[in-house]
Amino acid sequence: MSKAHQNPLTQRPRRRISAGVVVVIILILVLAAGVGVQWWRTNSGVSVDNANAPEPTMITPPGTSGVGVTVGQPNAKATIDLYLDFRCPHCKDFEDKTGPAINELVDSGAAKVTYWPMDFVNPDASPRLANAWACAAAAGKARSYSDELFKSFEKTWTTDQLLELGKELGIGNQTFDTCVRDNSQAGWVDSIQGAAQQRGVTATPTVFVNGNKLGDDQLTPEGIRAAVGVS
Amino acid sequence: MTDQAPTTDRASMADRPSMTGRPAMARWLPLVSTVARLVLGAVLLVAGFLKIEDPEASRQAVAAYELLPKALEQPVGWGLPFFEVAVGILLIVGFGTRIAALAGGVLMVLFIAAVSSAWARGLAIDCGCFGGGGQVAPGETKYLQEILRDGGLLVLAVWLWFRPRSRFALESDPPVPTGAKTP
Repeated sequence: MSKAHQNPLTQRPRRRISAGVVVVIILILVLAAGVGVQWWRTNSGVSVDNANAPEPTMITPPGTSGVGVTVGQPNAKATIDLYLDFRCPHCKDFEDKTGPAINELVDSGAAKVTYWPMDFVNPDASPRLANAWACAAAAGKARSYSDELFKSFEKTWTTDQLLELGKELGIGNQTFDTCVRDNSQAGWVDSIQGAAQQRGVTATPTVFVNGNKLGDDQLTPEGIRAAVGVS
Repeated sequence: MTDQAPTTDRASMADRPSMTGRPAMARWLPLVSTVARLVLGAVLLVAGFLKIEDPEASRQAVAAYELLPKALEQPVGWGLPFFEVAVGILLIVGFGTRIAALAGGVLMVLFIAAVSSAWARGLAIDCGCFGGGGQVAPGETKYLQEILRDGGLLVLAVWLWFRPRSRFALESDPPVPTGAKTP
């Protein structure tokens, strides 16, 4: 503007970068940055807010073929069966929404919970996670380990991350590490799939209360409480 | 509607009645482009954001199509949502509209092709367009709606490719030549 009155025809053509080129560069950078951000999020270190969260009493530990892991007070009247896959996004939503209510029911003695870890959602990861969870359950951290796996669902949960989680929860010893690395509970996890199939469970999350399968609309804190008989 | 109709009429009449309402056209076409920009941009922005939160679900949604080799599932599942957000923002602010619309249009063509292929192969999946994705019960697929929606968005993208100039844009695109020939 200050150098007004120049004849545009005598001016040398100014080199300008067109918006198109800028946009292409932006899009490529964003794509790369996006992959980078997600890589960082999924591979970042494991940290647990509450390593000493209350852990219900173990009633049936993992290892018995075709029998899930039951925790809670042995004299609790109601039984909740949870069929979850640690790589199932809907299970993550269910756990976020309903997990605390279920923990409460267990802690108050209103219900015991049987975990049936499924391993079909992500064939590359689900079996590894189910195995690691079984290792943690055998070490007495069934609930905490499950809760943390779902809480940090965005993580890849590499074997290293699974071991780190064990360490954070105070069960990171030789036995646990070997169990995770050697897939020691794979056979038991397999037997759980068979038992689930026999019961007609083909999708996760599937929840039974006292043997009755809950409908999708009952998979809420209120729905579970009502089914257990607590208001 | 009833408020606007007379205004439009009056404008076309007053401006140049003999030229078949062209000045009026010239006035509302950029507005149509503005609406197209905002709608396509907003859909892409929202769709991208909903997928960014959960990289594992996004990867699984890609895997459920059974189209890409395993090695590509992660980069696509992780990168695509960010790409959508970027294209969405560019369209909403109106910068590089033509290229952004091209990118959006190519995405829509790819989505339509992928959903059609899933449908044709008899897969039962959710498109994962707005997060989620993966297997659904065979009776719960929504392939036709998904394809129609993406088809509608594709029309907007094509429109913007041919008419990228719009009101309320950061940049008037294509740039007006200043008299000098560009190489």
